Amino acid sequence: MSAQTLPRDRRSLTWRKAKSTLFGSLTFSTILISFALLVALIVYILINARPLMAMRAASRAGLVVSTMVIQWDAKNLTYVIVNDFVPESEAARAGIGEFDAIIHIGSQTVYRSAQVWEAIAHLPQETLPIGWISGDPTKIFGDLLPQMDPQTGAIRVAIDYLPEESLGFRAGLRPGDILVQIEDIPVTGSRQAWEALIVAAQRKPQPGPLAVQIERDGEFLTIALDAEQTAQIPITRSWARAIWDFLTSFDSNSPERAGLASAIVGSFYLVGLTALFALPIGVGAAIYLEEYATKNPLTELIQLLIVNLAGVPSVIYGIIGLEILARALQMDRVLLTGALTMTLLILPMVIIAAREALRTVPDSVRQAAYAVGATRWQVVRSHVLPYALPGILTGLIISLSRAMGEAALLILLGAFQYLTFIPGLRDYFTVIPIQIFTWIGEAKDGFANIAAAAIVVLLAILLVLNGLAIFLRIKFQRRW
Amino acid sequence: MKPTTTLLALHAPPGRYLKERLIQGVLFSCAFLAVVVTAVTIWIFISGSGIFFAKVPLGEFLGGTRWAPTDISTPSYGALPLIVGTLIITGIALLVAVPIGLLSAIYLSEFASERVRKVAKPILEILAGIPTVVYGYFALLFVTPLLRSVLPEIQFWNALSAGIALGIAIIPLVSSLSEDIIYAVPRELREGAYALGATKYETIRSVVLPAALSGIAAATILAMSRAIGETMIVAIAAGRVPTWPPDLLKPLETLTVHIVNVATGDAEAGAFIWATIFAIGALLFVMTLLLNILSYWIVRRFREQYE
Repeated sequence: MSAQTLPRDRRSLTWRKAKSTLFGSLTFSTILISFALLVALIVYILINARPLMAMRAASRAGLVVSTMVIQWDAKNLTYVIVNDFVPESEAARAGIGEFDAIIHIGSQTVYRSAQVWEAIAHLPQETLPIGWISGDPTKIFGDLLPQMDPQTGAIRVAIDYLPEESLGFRAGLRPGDILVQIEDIPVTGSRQAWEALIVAAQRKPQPGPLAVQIERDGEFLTIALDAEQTAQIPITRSWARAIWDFLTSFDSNSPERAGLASAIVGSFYLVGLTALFALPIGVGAAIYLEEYATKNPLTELIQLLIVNLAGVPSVIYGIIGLEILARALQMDRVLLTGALTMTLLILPMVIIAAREALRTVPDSVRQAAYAVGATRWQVVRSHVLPYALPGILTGLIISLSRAMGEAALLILLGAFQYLTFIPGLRDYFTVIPIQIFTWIGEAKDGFANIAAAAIVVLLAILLVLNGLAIFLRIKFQRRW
Repeated sequence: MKPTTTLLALHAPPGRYLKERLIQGVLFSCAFLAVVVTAVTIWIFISGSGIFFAKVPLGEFLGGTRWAPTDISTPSYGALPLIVGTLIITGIALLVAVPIGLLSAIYLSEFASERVRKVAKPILEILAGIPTVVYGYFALLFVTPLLRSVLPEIQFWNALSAGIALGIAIIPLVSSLSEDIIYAVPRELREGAYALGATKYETIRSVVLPAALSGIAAATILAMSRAIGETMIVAIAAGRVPTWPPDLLKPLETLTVHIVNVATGDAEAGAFIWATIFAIGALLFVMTLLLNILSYWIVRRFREQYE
C-alpha cells in the first residue's frame, strides 16, 4: 500500500470527532434511503393493485367497461360503455346490453372506467345504483332520417319509424317528429342525436328526464324523455374471489377479465424445466472444478469464463438461444427452447454457488473417506455431496428466482404472446414478467392496475422461493 | 461376514478404474460447457455480424448518428444514438447507485453494530432480487410523475427516470461488493491509524478507503456492466425511440432495447433487420465482457495483497 499521511487538521478534537459522527449519520441515512425506496416501491405497487378487487367484482356483475372518446365542441369528451356483454350476469338481468353507456353511479357522473371501479370499491352496501343509456339509438328514437329543410336548407333530423316499445314512444314522441334539441344541445345528425343524449345526461347531477324539444306539424313541443334507465346491480365484493379469478383466467382485451393463468403455468413449467437441466450440469461442473481439477491453464480458463458468463447480459443469451436452438436446431420458439436458454443463463450462478457449498465441506471428511479406501467418486457422492447439498439447493433456488423474474431473454425466444390456453412443452408460451411487460404497454385504463397485481403475484412467488432458500440454509446449516 | 463397502474398495474390480474415468469425463464435460458456450457465442456473433458488416461499413455503424433500420426507402445504420443512449442511462444509474451503495457499504462495515448489519444487509439484498420489470413499472408510473413536479417539461417516456430506477436496482450490487472489500481491510491498518490519533472519519477516509479503492473500483465496473446490459427497465420507461442529439427528458433507445424492438416487431425471419441484432449484440457482448474481465482482474490482484 502506498504511504499515506494523515491529514493535519489543526481544529479541535471535538470538531474532528463531530465530523466522524456526522459522517456516520450520513452513511446511515443512505441505508435509510435504500429502505425508503424499497418501502415506496412496495407500497406504490400495492396501492396500484388495489382496484383489482373492484374490477373483478364489476366483471362478475357483467360490467366490463371501457372509456370512449368523442370529439365534442372541439374538445375530447369521454364516456363509459359496457364493451363486453356477459350473459347470465347481474347486469344482463337488469337489461344492460353491449355498448350501453353508463352515465351515473348514484349521484356521480361517470366519465372514465376507473370511476366505476372506485365507486364499487367504496360502496356503502352491496348494490351498485347505476344509470345507463342504451347503446342502441333505435331503442330510444327509432330510426332517424336526416332531411333538408326546404326553406332554410338546414339539416333536420326526423323520426322515420318508431317502435311502440321504444323509450321515445312511451315518452310521447311519434313518427314524423323533428328533433330540434336535447336540453340545450341542437341535434344535427342521427348519430349525433345519441351523443347529444349522452352529453346532456352527463350534465345532469343524477338520472332523470331530459327535455327534448321537437317540431310537430310546425309547432314546437318539449317532451320529457326518460332515456336513462336505472337499476340496482348486486355486487359481490370479495378479495378471495377476485384473486382466484385473476389467477385462473386467461389474458383478455378487457383488464377486468384478464388473468394470469397461462403466464403462471408458463413460468412454473419454465422454471421447473430449467431446474431439471441446471442442477445436474451445474453440480457436475462444480464438482469437477472443486474436487477433480488440477491447477492448469484449462482450469483457469474455465473458471474465468464461468465468472464472465455470469456477467453476460440476458439479451445476449436470448440471441444465442434464438440462433442455436430456435433457428439452427429447428426447435421453434417454444417452452423447451426457453428452458434450455434459461439454463445457460443461470448455469454460471448455480456453478458458483455449488462450488462455494462444496468448499465449506472440510477436508477431514474427504480424508476420512479416502482413509477407508473410497475412490474419488465414492468420496464425492457419499461424503461430500450430502453435506454440500443444502448449500447447493439454496444456490439453485436463488438462481431460479432470477429465472422467474427474467423477461428480456424470453422476449427474444418468442414468449411475447397473447395466450388464451394453458401452454404445453411444445407450445408457444408466456411467463409472468412478460405478461407484466405487455400489460404495462397497454394504454387502456385498468391495465396498469392488473400489471401491479401481477407484480404482487410475482413478488409473492419470489418471496416463497427465497423463504424456502433461507429455511434450507438455517435448517441444514452445519458448523465445522 | 459379508465384506463391507470399504473392504470392497481395497479389492477394486478392474471395471472400477474405467468407471471413475468415465465419471470424471462427464463432470469435466459439464465444466467444459462454459468454454463451448463462450466459443459458440463468439462464433454466432462473428458470423452474424459478418452479414451486417458486408452491407454496412464499420465507420458508419460506429460513427453515424441516424439509427433507422426500419426506414424502407433510406435505411440508416449509425449506432451512435444507441451507444450514447446506453452510456447516458448507465451514467445516471451509476450517479445514483455508487454514492448510495458506497456510503451504505461504509456504514454497514464501519459503523453498524453486528445486529444492525445482520438485519440491514439482507433487506438491502431484497432490492437486488426484485425483477427488473418491476423497476420499469416503478420508473414509468412513479418516478416520472414525481420528476414532473420538478421538471414539468419531462416527457412520459424519458431517459432520466429509467436511469434513476436502474440505479436503484443496482445499489445492492455496489453496496454488497464494496462492503465485502471494505470489511476485508485488515484490522491492524485501522488500529495503526487510531494509534496515531486519527478519528474514525479520518481513518476511513485516509486508511480504509484507499486500501479498499481497487475493490470499490471493481464493484463500480461490475455495476456499469450490469447497467449496460440491463434491458427491461429501459424498454419500459425510456421509450424505445432512438433520438439524436440525446436529451435526458426525452425518450431514447439503448443497445439492448433495440434487440427487444426487433424481437417484438413484425420483421420476418431472414429480414436484414435481424442482422442488426448481431452487430448490436456483438458490441454489447464485447463491452460487458471487457468490463467483467477488468473487474475480475482488479479483484484478483487486490485479494492477493493480504494473503
